[in-house]
Amino acid sequence: MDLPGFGHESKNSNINTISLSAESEWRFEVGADATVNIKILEGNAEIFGTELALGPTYHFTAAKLSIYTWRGCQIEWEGELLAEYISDESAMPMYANLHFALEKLRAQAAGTDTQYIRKETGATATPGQPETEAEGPKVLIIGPRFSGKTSLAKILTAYASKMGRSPIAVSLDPKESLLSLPGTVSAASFATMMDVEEMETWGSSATTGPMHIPPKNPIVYYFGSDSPTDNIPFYKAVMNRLSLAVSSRIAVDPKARISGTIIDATGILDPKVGYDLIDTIAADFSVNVIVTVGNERLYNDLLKRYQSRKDMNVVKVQRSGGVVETDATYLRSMQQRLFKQYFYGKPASPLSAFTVTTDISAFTVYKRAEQARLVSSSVLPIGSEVTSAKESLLTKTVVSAILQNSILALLYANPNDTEDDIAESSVMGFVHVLDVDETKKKLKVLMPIKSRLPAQVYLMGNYHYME
Amino acid sequence: MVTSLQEELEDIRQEYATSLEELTFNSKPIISNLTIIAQENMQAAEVIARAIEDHIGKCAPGHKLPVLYLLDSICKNVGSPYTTLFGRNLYRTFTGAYTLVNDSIRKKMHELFKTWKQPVPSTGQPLFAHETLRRIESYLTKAMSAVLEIQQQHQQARPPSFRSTPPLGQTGPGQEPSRSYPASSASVPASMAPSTSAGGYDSYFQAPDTGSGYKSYAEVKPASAITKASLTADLSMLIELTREKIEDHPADVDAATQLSALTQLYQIVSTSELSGSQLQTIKTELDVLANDLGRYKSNKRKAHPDHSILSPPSKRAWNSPQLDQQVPVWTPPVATQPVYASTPPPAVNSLSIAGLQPDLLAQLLIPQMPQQQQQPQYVNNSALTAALAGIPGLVLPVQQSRQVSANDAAALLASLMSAGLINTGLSKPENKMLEKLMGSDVELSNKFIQKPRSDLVVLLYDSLPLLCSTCGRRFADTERDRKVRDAHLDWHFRVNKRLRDDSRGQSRSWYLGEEAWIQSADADADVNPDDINDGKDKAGTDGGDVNNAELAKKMQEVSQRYISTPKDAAVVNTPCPICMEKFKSVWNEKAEDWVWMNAVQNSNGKIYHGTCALECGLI
Ligand SMILES: Nc1ncnc2c1ncn2[C@@H]1O[C@H](COP(=O)(O)OP(=O)(O)OP(=O)(O)O)[C@@H](O)[C@H]1O
Ligand SMILES: [Mg+2]
Ligand SMILES: [Zn+2]
Ligand SMILES: [Zn+2]
Repeated sequence: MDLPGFGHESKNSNINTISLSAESEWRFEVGADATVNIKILEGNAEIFGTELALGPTYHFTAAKLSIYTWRGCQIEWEGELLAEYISDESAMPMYANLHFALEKLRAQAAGTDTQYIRKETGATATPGQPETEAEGPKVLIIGPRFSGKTSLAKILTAYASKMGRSPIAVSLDPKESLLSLPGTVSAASFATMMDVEEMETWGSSATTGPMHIPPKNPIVYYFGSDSPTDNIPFYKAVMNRLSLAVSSRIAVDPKARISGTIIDATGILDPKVGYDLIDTIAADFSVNVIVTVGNERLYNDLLKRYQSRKDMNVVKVQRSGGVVETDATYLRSMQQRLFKQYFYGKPASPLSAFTVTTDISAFTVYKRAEQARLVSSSVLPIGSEVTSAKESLLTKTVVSAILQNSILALLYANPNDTEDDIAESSVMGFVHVLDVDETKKKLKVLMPIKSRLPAQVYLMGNYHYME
Repeated sequence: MVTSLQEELEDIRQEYATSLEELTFNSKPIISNLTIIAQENMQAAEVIARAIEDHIGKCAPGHKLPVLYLLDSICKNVGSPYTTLFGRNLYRTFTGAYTLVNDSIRKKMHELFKTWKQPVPSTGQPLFAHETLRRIESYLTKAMSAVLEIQQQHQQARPPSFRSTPPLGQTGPGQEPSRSYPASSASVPASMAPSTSAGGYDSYFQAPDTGSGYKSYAEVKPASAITKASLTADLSMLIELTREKIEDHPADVDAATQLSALTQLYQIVSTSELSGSQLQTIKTELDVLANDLGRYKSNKRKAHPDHSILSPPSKRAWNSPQLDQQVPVWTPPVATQPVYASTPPPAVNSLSIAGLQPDLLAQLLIPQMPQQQQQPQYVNNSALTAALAGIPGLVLPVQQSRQVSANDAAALLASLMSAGLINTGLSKPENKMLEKLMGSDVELSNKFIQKPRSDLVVLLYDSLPLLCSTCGRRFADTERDRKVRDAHLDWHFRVNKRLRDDSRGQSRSWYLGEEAWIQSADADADVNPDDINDGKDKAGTDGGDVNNAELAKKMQEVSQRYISTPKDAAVVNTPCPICMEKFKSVWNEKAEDWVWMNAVQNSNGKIYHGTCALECGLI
């Protein structure tokens, strides 16, 4: 019997409070159609390393998160949760130690980099002083699927920026997104805190107006599908390009340089393809710290693989018990949600998108060349690597009804650029093809911003979005 | 007859090459004339650049500088495509010349190089690619520290025996290559030795406010008078040694900590006013480190005893000769190390000991000790000890009987921090925490990671006690961080106001392009550290701050102002009173004269950098 007001747990509007004791975490899941309001009443609380303020109400939708407290806290929440429980077996103390060890390396770099010191202290150059540049740790996080790699990367990034650093976070996992959309590899400097309400995407990229949490500026390259193994040569090409941007940034930005890089790698661990890829990533990003998450075999393999490299440090951490395993359906619906958010924002902070109609002839679309005939080079005998030197990474696509509902990446490239240049161009944004009228030779496109359709190159991947 | 483009270019190249022959001294008219020719023949830029590079390569060392000035003038006045063309080979062109010229020209080359690092007013970027400049810079740094070492060397008297001992800069195969450069006889023909070292490196090593610079370090001086100059000289030496150690052992975390501490210390010593006792504290700490490093270095040398014979006397041809003159006659006795080492040196083959250098610490300390410089001749071990012990204020590591260990680096850092010498951005209680972080137990290892260390969490919370109640961001309770916090709160205020006032809908912005992203450091922060340092809280890049933009525009405008290069030699050498940098003369097309760009003159005739004057509110 439902007696109103008699403290029955009505899932909808009752306000619940939770007392978390020190070093424990509250794990909760919010469905895609629900919103949960959470307020920290007392103590301190953080979500993947980013601290929550006392007082304001935070809104969460479609999230699997944990609120961790170092010293205990009081949480008030309201709304409908799919699941929630408290765990006192958190991996946070371990992850924090990892952060402290990295922070020591940053402090060392900070004290050595004369350019950084000058910039921070406002001092002028001292004649005769030897100029030194120093680089903070460049950390690669690797582990099996659902080991909490991305969450760990967020924790390390958040702690670093909390302590005044500006780490560059890099996401090499095309199926998820760092400030951009699925299908990309991207990086951004985190000089300021992450927006906990948009944890899934590491916060929000810039919009045309002000935001309560400073937006982050990502550098984005388009791969076009979920898994690097779909097209290893193309993946390596975009990843290499991303690493060049990051190293150029590091060269001119002393604060980024001493803060280092945190790389969330993808979850492929097939020793045949995976280890070769890890080598490539490590080389491209000058990785000097590898953190394996929750897999002894992987740890030992990598330890052996890099034992001759004096400057490479391989360490392991355990998987957090809170990591939620999701399925392909969940991934698809998450990606659809991200497409929608890119154009329309969230209910609390809506964005406007615009439709434009244009001639098909004014539209240049490329697809990455599918290299189906190419067996991944690493399974071939050494020396017989099939180089696709002649083969271009891209092919031009005829604009036809195939494009219908596609998400296209708009590149910083012009139609008359060479295919090699196009393949290396970074992403300016995304458009959504609403309609292709082959008889009238017209195309209807959804744009994130009010402008003419840029006459640049568009790159098509495997993603579609249904409004 | 029709000449092909090829032939035409070849003609231009030859003509230009011939004109270059006249450029044997620093002649304004010739340089400006050749600059104009380069500008008028842009289509031949490639061959002109090559002619100049070739000429720098093959002309007499004494003539190289004016040609470098020409290169500089073309790049600064004409710019692209010459900057790109010269940029390609700049490292080779510059360093190739550097090896062959004498000290005073080298000094000029340092000055020239310094101007290349300054942003060009029109672009805000340095003249050449960052990477090129960085490479040259690191080359120059290494060259200088090697010179310093060799000069140290010279203060040891080794007249008859010095053939058998390698200069410090001299290395054998398998050692760091860059260190072998300054001592390489091939690149320094004996005939090139400067007859006098007018200036030379002395002024380069000069601490900002001592008149005598590096020389004062070498000069006879009571040991108790530790000066800024002597400390900075000690420090550059130690920094170089530590860096060498790290190159040998990249995984040596303690060496990295040490390098960090030393570099910070360098900054502090050279920029702040320290009391005598503070200087003494630092000196004491440094001595311990020097001892440690000295042993490392001499042990390393023991591993390569053979290379000691590879050092002909001509190698030091271009070192300051006056240092040679005052070298005391002192041959190190066998096995000097134990005097400084608190632990016995590892057993070594006595044969290799015979050719050994004295402990590096000796080299570091002895020049500052009058007793060592003036009297001791052929002292033996115990006499040296006695002499050292007699110096008031000199704390010998051996007296401290302190175990020199890897922890010294941490100890150094810790003691410097607690003495308030190292600016960690944190207030004193927080320094304690930072000491904890820098402690030797914190390391990137499975062992450290697995064991919970709640005590360190203080760094994430208590060390940052000021909290923004809107977003939860934390700040340290320091003067600087309070300013950052105020600017941050301002930023919230502005954002809120704009959100209230602005009813227009928002849209997703385009992502930045590569170039813009690479340069977006300031756009990523809500508060710009430069603003904090200026004490002007005009922070905020929430979509374009008007004040910032205005200021930037004004800066740009002011940087374009110029005055004719003064004729008076004394005025020419007077630096900007604000930044203490000298002005650089460039040819100005419009004025048809040599001018100082970014320069303004006040009513008293004082000349400032326009940007400096604007920054200080003088204009
Ligand atoms: N401690 C935790 N409590 C609750 N949820 C968590 C916790 N840690 C991670 N999660 C959630 O579990 C999911 C998977 O975690 P995460 O994305 O970090 O793993 P991953 O190793 O990167 O996975 P993938 O291999 O798919 O990239 C995410 O939705 C994340 O928010
Ligand atoms: Mg992940
Ligand atoms: Zn705030
Ligand atoms: Zn100035």
